[in-house]
Amino acid sequence: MPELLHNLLTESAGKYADKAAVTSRGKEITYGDLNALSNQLSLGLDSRNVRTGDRIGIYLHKSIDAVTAIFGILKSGACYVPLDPMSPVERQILIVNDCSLEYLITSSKKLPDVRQILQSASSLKYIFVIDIAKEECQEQISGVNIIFKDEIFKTPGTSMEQPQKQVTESNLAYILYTSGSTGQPKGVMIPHKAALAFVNWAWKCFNVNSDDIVSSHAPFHFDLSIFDIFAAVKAGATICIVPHELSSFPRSLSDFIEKQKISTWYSVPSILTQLVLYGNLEQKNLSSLRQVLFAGEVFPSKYLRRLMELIPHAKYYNLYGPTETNVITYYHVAELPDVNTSIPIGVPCDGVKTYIVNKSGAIVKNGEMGELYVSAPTLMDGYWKDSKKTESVLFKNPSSFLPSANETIYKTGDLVNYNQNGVLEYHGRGDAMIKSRGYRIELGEIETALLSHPDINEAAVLGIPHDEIGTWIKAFVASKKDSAISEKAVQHFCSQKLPHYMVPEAVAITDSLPKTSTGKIDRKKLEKESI
Amino acid sequence: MHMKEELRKFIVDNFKFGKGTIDDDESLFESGIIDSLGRVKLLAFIDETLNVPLDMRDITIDNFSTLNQMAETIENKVRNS
Repeated sequence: MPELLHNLLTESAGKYADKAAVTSRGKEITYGDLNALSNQLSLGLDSRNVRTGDRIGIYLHKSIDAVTAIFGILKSGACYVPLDPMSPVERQILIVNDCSLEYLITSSKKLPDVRQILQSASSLKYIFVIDIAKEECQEQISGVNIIFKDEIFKTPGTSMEQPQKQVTESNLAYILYTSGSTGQPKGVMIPHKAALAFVNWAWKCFNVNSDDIVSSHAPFHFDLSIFDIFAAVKAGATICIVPHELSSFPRSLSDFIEKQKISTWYSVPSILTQLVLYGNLEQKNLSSLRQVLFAGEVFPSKYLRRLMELIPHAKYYNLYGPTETNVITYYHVAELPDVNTSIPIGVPCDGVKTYIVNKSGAIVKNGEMGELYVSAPTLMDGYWKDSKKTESVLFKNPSSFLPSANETIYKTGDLVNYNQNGVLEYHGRGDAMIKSRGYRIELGEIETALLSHPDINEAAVLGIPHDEIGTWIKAFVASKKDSAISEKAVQHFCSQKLPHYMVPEAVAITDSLPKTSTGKIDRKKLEKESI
Repeated sequence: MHMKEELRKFIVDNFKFGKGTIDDDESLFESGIIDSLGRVKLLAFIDETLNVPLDMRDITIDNFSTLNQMAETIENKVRNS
């Protein structure tokens, strides 16, 4: 039997049928039930001609239903494409069309949006409404097949069955869309074998076990969720879904961690910073919390140090890797860090080889900084339907520094070096990608959105460093003559096209932007003005 | 202007960019209208414009999720200070 992500659930359901697999907003589902419901969903998909390798959208908030959808899709032989439920409809349409989605799994709350998406996305043929029966539905949607909860889950007698599909380790398991510099989000294609190489490593490295309660803080379109869902299911642990709005209430979030007895926490550092500053951690009993993993952005040492002082019994790990590679390096923070140094990204995970390459394409000398190239069992297959972009970052046997001929190498775009102790340190990006609250943002995508405004002639977007959230976004735009656009109008325009975390926090409107001697927008000058 | 209306105006202006309105009992964080960065801006507004300094550590999902809850929390703070 090939090793496939959904087999992790089948196996755990055999061992831990009555154990809680997922908890979410006061609800709970056992491994046995999650397995049965996802089998039924997969049969429902199969009976509507889902083929191996088809892409199926998930347009749901993190929930038991969303986890059921993920496993149901995988069992049907298809790959799942999680849409950001908080993003505007225009962006959903870009992704639905890019991926030519024929099937979408959603909930009743999202149907008004789905109706709008359908007006601009002709590929969609089947909408699965996973949370209500047909008779409960108030929305009128036509021109597409709609399948409701009562029809999806009506076959309890066959719940041990799942479709017999030819799926191999090389088939795609999921496509995660990330910000693209040209304005079109990029679909990162991950096959089963790459996801499993990561999951198997993480499960072992962090000793995830059936007594664990694993946080699910990241949204499902964010690659941190792969650990939360699949490492937990492999171990027979409980996935504890953290309501997304708790991220704005550090005190309520720390209450939640205490009450839910979370034992393995994984999130972006900015949330942990909020907990340190405002979470009243000194008054909490967090004795269940045995390890804290973080990834996605740089964790300021002073806040990590404080966190380690407040919760001294837990272990701390910095995980590193872009969506394209899963996690490729990790660092165990064994001692209180010096507040004046940054936390290393550490050492390669199992099977990962790292190369640091300078601008002339040669391996750097000891300790020098360069761009990180990697070969890894966890690598993506490429970007969906974008061979040009794929070829610009993934290549085989490029030059003499490669030890073996057939390794595929990924250029991360991240600048790193090896420190005196032989661990990797991160030094930022060589391009216009930033991280804000852990979200990866191509400034070019925001500029493209701004330039699509009829009254905007020029646009430049900068990331301004912010102690607590990483980076905030400021836009500079030059408006057309006689235009009466305002900061609010520009922000509203962006909010119709971009996820909320990409909408500029401030917009400066002028007649024209400063230029360098070569006629390009002078970003350095704008940067100086902003500080 | 009544404090609650000032708050409503600020939220609509800053988080809905001046379009539409918000209901008194709408859950502003669950729906994503306000996120963690928005909360920072909102507290700064309450401090600087309404002259009520709220401590982040006093704010919870149960006393600050809706416009009505926010207004009540601010009133309590004023009464107790």
